[in-house]
Amino acid sequence: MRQYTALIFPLFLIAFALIYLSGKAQPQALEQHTAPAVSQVITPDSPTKLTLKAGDRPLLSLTSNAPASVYVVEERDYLRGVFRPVYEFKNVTYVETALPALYDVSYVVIANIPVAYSIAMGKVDDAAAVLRKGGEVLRAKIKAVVNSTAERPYVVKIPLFSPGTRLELNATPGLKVAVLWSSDYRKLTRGTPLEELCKPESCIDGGSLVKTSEEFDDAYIVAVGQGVLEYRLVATPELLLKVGTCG
Amino acid sequence: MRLAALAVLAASLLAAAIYHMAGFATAAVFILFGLAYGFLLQWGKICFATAFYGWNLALTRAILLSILTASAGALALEATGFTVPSLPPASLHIFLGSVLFGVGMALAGGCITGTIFRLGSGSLQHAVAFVGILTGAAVGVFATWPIAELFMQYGARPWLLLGPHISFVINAAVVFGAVLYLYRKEGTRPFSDLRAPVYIAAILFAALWVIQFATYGALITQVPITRAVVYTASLQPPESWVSFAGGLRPPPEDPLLLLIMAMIAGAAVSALYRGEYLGFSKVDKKSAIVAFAGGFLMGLGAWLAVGCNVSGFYSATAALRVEGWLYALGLLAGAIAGLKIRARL
Repeated sequence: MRQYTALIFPLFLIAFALIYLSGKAQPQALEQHTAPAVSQVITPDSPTKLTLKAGDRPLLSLTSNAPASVYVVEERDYLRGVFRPVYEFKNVTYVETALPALYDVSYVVIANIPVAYSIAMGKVDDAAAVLRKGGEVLRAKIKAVVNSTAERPYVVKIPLFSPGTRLELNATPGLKVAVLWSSDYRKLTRGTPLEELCKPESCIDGGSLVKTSEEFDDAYIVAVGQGVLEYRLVATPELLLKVGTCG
Repeated sequence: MRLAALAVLAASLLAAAIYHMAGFATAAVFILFGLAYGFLLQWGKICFATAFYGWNLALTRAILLSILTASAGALALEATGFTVPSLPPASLHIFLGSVLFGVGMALAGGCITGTIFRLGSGSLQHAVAFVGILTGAAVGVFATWPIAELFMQYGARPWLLLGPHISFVINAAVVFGAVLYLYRKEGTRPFSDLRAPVYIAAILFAALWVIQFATYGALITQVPITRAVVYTASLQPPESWVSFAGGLRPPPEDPLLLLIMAMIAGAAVSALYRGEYLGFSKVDKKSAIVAFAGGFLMGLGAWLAVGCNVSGFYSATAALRVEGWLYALGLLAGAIAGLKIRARL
């Protein structure tokens, strides 16, 4: 009978499979892991909660007729009353962004006006598999209405603009846009004029700009003037070559 | 015994079927991969530790042939742009970590894959060594990974400089050089026994590896087992490690972990079928302590080298990352030192 002790190994596998199956069957999980109808709306009074397991990579889409500001904060901060957004989208009319979860995490999505949203669940592993096969993966696609001045510019932070990631910008005429690294952004906040920090390869006065990164640094999109700013952040297969993730 | 083998196989396939039914096809496929890997490892007795000790030169040659075969597949995939390997920066940490790993594997009585297939074969000593690996890997995330990170800041990525073709030529040269060296040392004609299970298993292992590399990425072991321990124990690892490991995830949702578990089950199927299953018979206290210590060192070393004998050596060289040979050198040095230490214990 001793040989049947070997059954312990597949029994673990079966237990894991059943745990996975039961997790899929929970109504709450079903609600959160399938794409809800686009008609769902986040309002200032009813923020929506998004519970993610480590390895999840949902794609959050938001649309609004009027410019809206949307913030994604961790639930624990939200419950404590701490406003420390993990992602923030200011004056946007359209947002499509991935929210990759490295840990088990719960987010609360807050909006200042009613915003329609949808969520398509995905996995970090699936996105990595697309890159591995030579494809590109959309990380974010944003359309924002900008009305700012040099003193109070419109700023979007791109955390860890890694090598292998491509930023595509499009601005309407009259809108001056610069992509600054964190050191230059610090100079801007300390009073250095944007013109002094502008380099030809990273500044536009209306029109288009495509920027790739060779450094592991935060980047900032700084826009001054009035107009519409659209940008896309795309992960390319180069990311696998430049960023040493395992496997 | 054969009935038990069928029961283990059927139960494993049932798990794969449940995952498939639940819509997690990758998990189902990885269980199948794991079963096949485990069966081949046990059937061919493919243990990298034994190969590095020089105790079984047919096994050494089989592993070299397996690497060359897998490299040829990787060359076809990489040269056509079908896939690319992941490229953690290479530096001296690979050598230092692999020496530590080599010492550990000599004490534990097997590398990670060797430990896995012997655990599947019902060896209590290797079950203890496996617990040591899990513990060492979890500690390594906090103790040795930060050191590896420092080295990696100044590391290089040879693949980017050499490209797949030159890397393959280097692989072929090293393999042929090693085979020639073994021939001179041993005196028997190399590959005269190609029909032996060890060669067949090694070649089939390489074929499986190429399929996995083409579809899901290279075979790795230390990442999923560490992820599982870190997640289950609710540890708070450095952010950089979490990012490197591709994030944490619940064990039932980690296909790579399922592959490792299925690998153990696959080894059990082979061991039961061949009447080699040990049924976890007793191990003396001293052997258990040494095995645990060896496993612990392997876990620590795996996060200093950022790779175990699978990801740091086999998968690295097979994926045409020539720094895998640096890992092999460290493994050899560590194995020699480890055997001397073990002899004195």
